[in-house]
Amino acid sequence: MTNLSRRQFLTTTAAAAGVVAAPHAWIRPAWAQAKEVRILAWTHFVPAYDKWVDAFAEQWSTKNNIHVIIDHVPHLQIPAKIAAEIATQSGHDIVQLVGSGTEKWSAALMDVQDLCDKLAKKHGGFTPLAENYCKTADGKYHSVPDFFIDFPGLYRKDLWTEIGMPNGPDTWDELRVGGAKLKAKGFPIGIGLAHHNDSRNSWRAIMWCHGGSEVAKDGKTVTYNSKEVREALKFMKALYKEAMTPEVLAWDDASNNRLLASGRGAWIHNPISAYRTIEGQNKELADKIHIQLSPRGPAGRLSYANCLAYGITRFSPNQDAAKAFLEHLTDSFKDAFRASTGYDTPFLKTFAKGPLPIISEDPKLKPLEKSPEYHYTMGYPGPCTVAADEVYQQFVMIDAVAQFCTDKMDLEQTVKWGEDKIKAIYSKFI
Amino acid sequence: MVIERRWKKWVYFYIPLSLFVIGTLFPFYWMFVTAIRPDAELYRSWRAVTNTPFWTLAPTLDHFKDLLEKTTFPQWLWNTFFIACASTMISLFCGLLAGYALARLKFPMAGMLGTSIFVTYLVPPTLLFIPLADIIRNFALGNTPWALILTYPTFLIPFCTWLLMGYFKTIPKELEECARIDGATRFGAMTRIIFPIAVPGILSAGIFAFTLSWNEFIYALIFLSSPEKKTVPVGVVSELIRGDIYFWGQLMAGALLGSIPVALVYSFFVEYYVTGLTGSVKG
Repeated sequence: MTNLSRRQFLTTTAAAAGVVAAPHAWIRPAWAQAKEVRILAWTHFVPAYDKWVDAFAEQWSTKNNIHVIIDHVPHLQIPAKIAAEIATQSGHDIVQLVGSGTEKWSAALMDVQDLCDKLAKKHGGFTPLAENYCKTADGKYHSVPDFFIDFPGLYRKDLWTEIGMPNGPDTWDELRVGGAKLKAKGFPIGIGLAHHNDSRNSWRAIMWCHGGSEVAKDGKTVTYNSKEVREALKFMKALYKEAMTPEVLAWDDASNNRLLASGRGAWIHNPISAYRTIEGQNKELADKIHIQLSPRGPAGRLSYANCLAYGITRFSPNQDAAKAFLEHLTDSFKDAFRASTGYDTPFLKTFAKGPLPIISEDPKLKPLEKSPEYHYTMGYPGPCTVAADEVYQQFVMIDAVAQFCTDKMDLEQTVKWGEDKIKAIYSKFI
Repeated sequence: MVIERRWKKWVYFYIPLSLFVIGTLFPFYWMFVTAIRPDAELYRSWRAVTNTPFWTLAPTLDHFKDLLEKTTFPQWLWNTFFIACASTMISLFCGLLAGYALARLKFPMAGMLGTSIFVTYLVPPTLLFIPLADIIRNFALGNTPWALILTYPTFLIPFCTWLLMGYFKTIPKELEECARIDGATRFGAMTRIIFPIAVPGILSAGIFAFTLSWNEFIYALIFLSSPEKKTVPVGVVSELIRGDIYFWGQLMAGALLGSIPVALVYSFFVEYYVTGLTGSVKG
């Protein structure tokens, strides 16, 4: 056997790689192939849902002789992808709008009022939340409502029972009082105060429950400088100091899940994904975790909804096929809901009023039936505008809250700082 | 005296070296331990009596199995390798010629041109991806490996040019001049005298270019859509991070397997690489 020198090894490897790689040069772009509907969708929190929707698309493809391909991308990367496609006027026929509202992309999305009217007629209409998210300034639907992610409370029943609150905290103040007792026992509660979704969602829920808001119903008048927002800020600071640990200042979206999964957390504000993960990994702990409505405050019970909808791009060459697919997908909502293990909260009134598979059948998940009644999205009580989205995307309010909670600013400075930032953003769009 | 020397060696050499080695290798060790740790242990409380954060008593290959069976990871690995090799070769070729020209040829604004080339390397890809997407669409390269093979050189060529320009400047001009006196053309002197001497620099530039291509994320995310066309950084993030759920075991298995080719490239050319970085030919 002859010894292979390094030079020979490199030459042989390079030659072999070249031969194997050659076919890549002749692969035709997929977009130039047969008639197809290409969908840009998020990577669903529940892997089984992606499998279901891929299989669903394949079945529809076979039946209608139109190839449907779903490209799954993490939700945080979707806006960049849509922006690039709009700039180049090419790409996917259908794009999923994850939490960004429809107004922002409306110029690039076709009017789908006719399809939404048809779906509304079949399924008892869309909820106001869906209308708010999917209609644009012209009063028409430019995206087809899909579902929203509710934001309930997840609590450790065993721990809350020990302090005499077996059903968990029903109000924000009960959360503060009970949370302080549990923190003293080594089981803090967790609401993020950092740059991630859950933080900004929880803060909005707290602010709205105290009667505060960033903007008025007209969607233009900034209302952040108010007595109610001050009360919400004071409450948040007390909650942080009494019931949480400073780790929440450096959290990401997975951190509160980890707190609960570690057995160290007494309560978190999160969709049921955290519970579902623990269920698969630690049955004993999952049995102790219960789900409740998001807490209520002096102004009532309001929580934040991350909404999802499908838009059909104006540059799509297959708009009719795209519409037909979306109609079939919406008609099959119950199957989709089952595949998502109860995660996809409905926008259609028929489904929203229940009963629904999985959550109506499981006593632990039953509180989720009420989710459509008290969830709102950015810009509340006004419309879901581009300005509201920018305030949300730039973490303006959560930055203000974090600075106040860590004593870097006093109450008045915090309100002024937040108000200036919010006004600067809104002034760009008015 | 001997005792003092030994003491000094420990303080100034062994202890700092140990800290450096631990600091450098710990992330790999952590990746490895997480990749072989069963899920039940991954999410166990740090305060649990049975918790063993730095090792596992029940190692498993399940995460590797899931990664290879439930995702198209081998395909991502191949895509990444092919794209990284092709874009590195293109960039090295262009960088070699440009670097040589800027280091050796005398023409107006040569110095400024060299600086400008480096400045283009500093333009963030987040600013460039939209105009580049337009070009990709015009050439109908979307969702093909060529979209990346042809866009990666936009940041690799400036980088290679700058690095090689510096390296060529360290090679004495006299060597080339001797060759010219002996009858070699400029091109002949360049390819027969200068390039062989510059091999450490060329390999350093190649290794860096390969690593930058291997790890690139934003262009790969924007220009490729199909799951089977993705590269490792995008594929792993797309499939194994689902909102607030991180599949840590598989993520770390993917990161570990994904880092092996880069580690191999480094180890294979380590002596050239070190020479390339520490300077080259003495005049």
